[in-house]
Amino acid sequence: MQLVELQGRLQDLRKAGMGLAAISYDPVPTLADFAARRGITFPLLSDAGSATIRRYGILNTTIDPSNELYGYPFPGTYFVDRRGVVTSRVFEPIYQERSTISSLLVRQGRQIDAPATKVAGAHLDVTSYATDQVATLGTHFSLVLDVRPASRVHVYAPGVSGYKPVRLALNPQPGVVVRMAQFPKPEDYFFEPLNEHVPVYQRPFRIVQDVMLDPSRDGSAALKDVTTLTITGTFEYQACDDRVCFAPQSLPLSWSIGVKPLDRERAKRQEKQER
Amino acid sequence: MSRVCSGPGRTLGPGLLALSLVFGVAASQPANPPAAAVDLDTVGPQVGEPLPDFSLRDQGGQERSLKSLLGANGAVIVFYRSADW
Repeated sequence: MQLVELQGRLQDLRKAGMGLAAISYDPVPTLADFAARRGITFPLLSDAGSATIRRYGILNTTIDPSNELYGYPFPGTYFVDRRGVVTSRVFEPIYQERSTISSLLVRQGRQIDAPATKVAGAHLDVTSYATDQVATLGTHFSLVLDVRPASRVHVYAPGVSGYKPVRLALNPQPGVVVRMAQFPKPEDYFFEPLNEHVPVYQRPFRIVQDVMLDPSRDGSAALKDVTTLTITGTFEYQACDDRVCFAPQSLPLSWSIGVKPLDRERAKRQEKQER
Repeated sequence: MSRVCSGPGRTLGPGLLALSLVFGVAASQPANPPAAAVDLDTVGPQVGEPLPDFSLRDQGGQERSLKSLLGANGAVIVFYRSADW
């Protein structure tokens, strides 16, 4: 559940000097019950009647007013600066899909606390981790590669011609959807002997690969009895210094993700069962 | 430094938009309209705009404003469907 996952990043957000609150149309007692049962300590704000949701212009207008779910917002996440001005906003277009807060934070270049593996390759090293240790179907999370080229070495950015660009190649497997990869803006490198300009990375850089556990019928079937998923792949690159280019390399990487079933527990029903 | 503008002038736009969407959808779409009918890139405050301030009670009953939630580097404000589903 999204709120539990947010609670798990509360320390990272505090360290980053960022506040956190989540808003829904639930009345205060529902929120109090949920917070107590699930250990939520950050503010869950009650917009009963959805006045704030309407004022923001994010009321889910596709729900019929006679439906008990009327009053839902379009689910979304706002990042604001210290004056409250929006720096980024994420509204997921597909009902069953959602990016984790951890994934959104790393895509913005922020640090999160996650168990990482450091792999030394020829002429660079790679520290890699998954943004989330557990994920549910439809969750977008990220595989992060923090790459540090050795001194005076550069590697090639996507779009280069004549050299092998850096690439994260994930081995396909049922239930895993490989989505967009985010690469930083490259530097322009002028190689005088050949009088050519090429896009490169020479300083530490981050690749963020968005991955999803497939919520479709086929994906659900493939992940039905899976509790831990291992994603494997290789980081491919060609390193050069100011005189020579070295042989292209392929560095094997892997990540383990716990697969959690969808959490459909309802606050009130649970409460009744406990009494 | 200028103050964050969160007065009615700022918030009237999205409010009216939401109202017109409600009526628009109600009039033209009988049942179960696809979610794709709304362009989610355009709903709510956009990048560069201030989030309208609010005063809402938290799970402990305490009133919280947006301003009270802002840290040295801002805040993350999440809108979700419900804790009860």
